[in-house]
Amino acid sequence: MADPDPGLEPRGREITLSVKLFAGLREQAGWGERMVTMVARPAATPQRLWQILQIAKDGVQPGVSLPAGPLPESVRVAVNQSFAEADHLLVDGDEVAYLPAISGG
Amino acid sequence: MTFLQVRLHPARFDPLTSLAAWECQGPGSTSAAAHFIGRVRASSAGGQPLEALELEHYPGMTERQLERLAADCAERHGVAAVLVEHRIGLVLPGDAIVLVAVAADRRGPAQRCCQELLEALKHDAPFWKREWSGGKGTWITGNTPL
Repeated sequence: MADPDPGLEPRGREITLSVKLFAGLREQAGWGERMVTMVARPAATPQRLWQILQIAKDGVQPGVSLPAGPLPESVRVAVNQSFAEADHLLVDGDEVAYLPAISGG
Repeated sequence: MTFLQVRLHPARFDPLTSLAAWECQGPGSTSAAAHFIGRVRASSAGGQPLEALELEHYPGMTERQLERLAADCAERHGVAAVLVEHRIGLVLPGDAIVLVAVAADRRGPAQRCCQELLEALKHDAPFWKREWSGGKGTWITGNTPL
């Protein structure tokens, strides 16, 4: 498979994502929406972004109280307002939402 | 072609008024209809008196997801019209949370589509419930049994 980013430095380019949290997750984290920049290599996925949110230290430590470790099974992911898998490949400008257990109706 | 109507209500709504309007606009000359109205219980999951139920949603995705679920379900069952109305915000005990109505040529598709769509939106439409009881809010992490 061809390198999608020929000529870029090995670290990979950065992409900026809009990240949203809802309900109990939002309250655990202490924020509901923010812009997050991550390096696109290795692959930028919601799973990897989740880990970045836990360790981000940009002055306010935005995600220190999110559940530690891999994305919990009870948390679903939406990319650009459609359900997506945790290994979905993210691109610059995507809106990524982490959805705790749904309870509608 | 199926007539689909999806609406979120930020304030109290009367499901019977909604149904009456829908009967005039949507189902056309169909001979069967199935309706479901869900209301807020008087007690919390823990058995305490419930003051209110708060419904959070994901603006944009919730509406789109309801439309997708309704369209998919309508196609699977070959029904003529589907109506989904859902509350958001603070809902008081006894007030309607959800209305699902389906019109079809026969009772089987109408009833099956109504039940399947209700279950789908409980699990696959981004809504979150928080029970308020004794001045304390508790997020609900699952659905009540069928």
